[in-house]
Amino acid sequence: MLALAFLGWLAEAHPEVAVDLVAFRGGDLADELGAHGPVTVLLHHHEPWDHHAPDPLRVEEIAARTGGLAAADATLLVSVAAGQCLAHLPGGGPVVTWSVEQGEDLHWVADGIGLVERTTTWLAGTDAVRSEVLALLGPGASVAVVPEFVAPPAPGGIGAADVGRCRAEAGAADDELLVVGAGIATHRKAPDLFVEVALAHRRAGGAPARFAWVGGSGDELFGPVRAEVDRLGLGDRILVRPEVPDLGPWLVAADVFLHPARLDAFPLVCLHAAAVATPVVAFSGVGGVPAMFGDAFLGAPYPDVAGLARAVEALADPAARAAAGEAQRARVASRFLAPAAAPVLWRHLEAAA
Amino acid sequence: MRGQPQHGSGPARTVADPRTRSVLVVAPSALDRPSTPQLRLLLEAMVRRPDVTVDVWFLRPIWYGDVLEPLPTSGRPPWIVDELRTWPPGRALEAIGLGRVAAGLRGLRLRRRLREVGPDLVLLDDGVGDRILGPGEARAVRVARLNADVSPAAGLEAVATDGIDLWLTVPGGPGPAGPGAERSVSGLLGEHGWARRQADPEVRARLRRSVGLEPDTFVVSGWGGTSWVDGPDLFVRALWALEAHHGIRAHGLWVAIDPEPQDVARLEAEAERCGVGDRFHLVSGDDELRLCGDAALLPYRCEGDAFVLDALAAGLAVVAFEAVGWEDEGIEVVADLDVDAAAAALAAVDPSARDARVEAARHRLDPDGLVDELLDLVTGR
Repeated sequence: MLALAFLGWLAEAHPEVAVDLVAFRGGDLADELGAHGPVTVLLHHHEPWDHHAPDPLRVEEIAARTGGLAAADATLLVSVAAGQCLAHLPGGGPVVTWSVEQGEDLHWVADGIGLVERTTTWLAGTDAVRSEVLALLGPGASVAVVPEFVAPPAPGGIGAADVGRCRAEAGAADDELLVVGAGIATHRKAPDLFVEVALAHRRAGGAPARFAWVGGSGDELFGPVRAEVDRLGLGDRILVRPEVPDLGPWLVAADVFLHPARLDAFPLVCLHAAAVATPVVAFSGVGGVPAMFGDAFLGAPYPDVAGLARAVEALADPAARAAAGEAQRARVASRFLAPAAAPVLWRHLEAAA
Repeated sequence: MRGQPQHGSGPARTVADPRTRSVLVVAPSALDRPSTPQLRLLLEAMVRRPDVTVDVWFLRPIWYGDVLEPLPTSGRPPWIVDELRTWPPGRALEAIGLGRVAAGLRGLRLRRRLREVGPDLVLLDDGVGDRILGPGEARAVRVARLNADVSPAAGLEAVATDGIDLWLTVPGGPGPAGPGAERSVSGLLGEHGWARRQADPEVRARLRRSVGLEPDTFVVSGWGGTSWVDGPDLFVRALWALEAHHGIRAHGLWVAIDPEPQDVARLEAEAERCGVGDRFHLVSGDDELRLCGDAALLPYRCEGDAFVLDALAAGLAVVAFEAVGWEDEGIEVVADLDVDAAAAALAAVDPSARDARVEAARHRLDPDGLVDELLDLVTGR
């Protein structure tokens, strides 16, 4: 999503720039990326890979796939995990590594993939990420903060019918609060805590509300969390549904976007929600959401689930909800939408090239 | 009170000890079923008594399933009442049209068997089998044991509805089907379990030191897998809630069964995130460690572990989510996934009341205690 947002801005602001896109693994966004330039996928999902002891045949296969790539004036790695591509890219030009990960996900920095040796410019998505990367790189390293961003909402917005379908699927009446969460269903994204917040909200006698988690049907917690909702007899209050091609209608349909992640450096989905003025509630102390919203942040310190439920309940009042949504929207629009933020990244790329 | 029956076949009886009480256990069949281990514990406790004889009768042979290991008796082998139906002389009489005579003879044989046993107390497992008792057993104490699992006699035998002096019920099982006192038995704990209890402070202190815990620290123990379903993440967050809401910096000891490295790493990261990394201890390999806590938190997202009885016997205050499925007055059950409620329950634990909890648990869970109660009914008759 981050790459897409940047490419979308680049296509408008600098149509003279030619882009080659390389994905270490294929994904759902390959087609959308393809609209901005040729896409080379190094490994398909079914192809195993061990970067410590790569299979020589597989290496040959990757070489064949990258054979048509020209040396770039500058290479932008969107995330340190993308550094896995480095060994397979042509040329020795400048490499700008934009780290957007935290915690154990930063292991690629020191994992022998040539990231430290090849990177000429280090960028970090947040101050917290910058601190962690600096600690890994050691004394003398320089890392600039370039905030992550998303594309602005599409002009014309989301149709009322689409919004209505989402609310209907969640069983939310017009006068009920619809609380939406979305993401992959891993421990880190915490759909289980989403359910716990829903339970805590109910136990606390909160306003009538429906909760809907969207996404992660192939992930480890999707089935268990769904089963737990059934076990608890909450199937009529909490919807756990697979991912959708376009999350936009759900974000607009939501009265509150609840992001209960246990660790998330700078969740773009929260930017998307705030961009359509849906107020976001999240934990503090486990990532970049407080920095994302500054004074407009709403939530509770991790792991205060009841606190998060209270933050949701505080938005039951439509006026309070509208004010919170607008405050977060304004903050995001001024800092984390492509028109405001992408030029910063572009300047670093230009300087590196 | 009656004499000691002679074990083995034959009608002769000798009066060995006038204080000997005879217990007849009537069970639907010899099917090995979930409720059998608890019945076995009760019978073992009875058989250990020098003043108690135990006979076991099964109403019917079994046609399917596992035959249980012989239940403890005082020597006379278990008898299957239904054998009367296939008793050759009876079948021969029926074959020549003397069915009523055959029935009468079967009745006489049954009466004779009952006289041999001479029960002072009849324990009807699943509450069935009172049909075989006659006027001679009218003064015997009748106890109906009702189980949570499905009786093999379901649809074949009627549960007694009257004449029951005591109904032994289990949490989650059926209630009394008629008048009579009720005694709930959440579980009985065998000798092995009692032997493991750690009422001795020195034993507890040694175990705690083995994992770096000071003896006077407030310790919450928990056990299970390291995967999400057993709720170790909830355990970690309960430690956080204990401090955040109650100011108690408890240490948490999760005794892991078959820990998975990636789960362990995830839990340790979770503990760090929650600010309890220095007080969360994930260990494995020594089951006894489970009992060295002041309290146990069983945060399972599915049904629980029979080891909870050992924890109660060891004097731990047990806090569990509803999903665990155990009911006992020694278990504080809180709403599923309600970490704050679990922390509140843990905060209310008085570590110094351990001995009192041990005694209370012994009263509820010790098979010998239950035998005492049953024999008191005989004495009081």
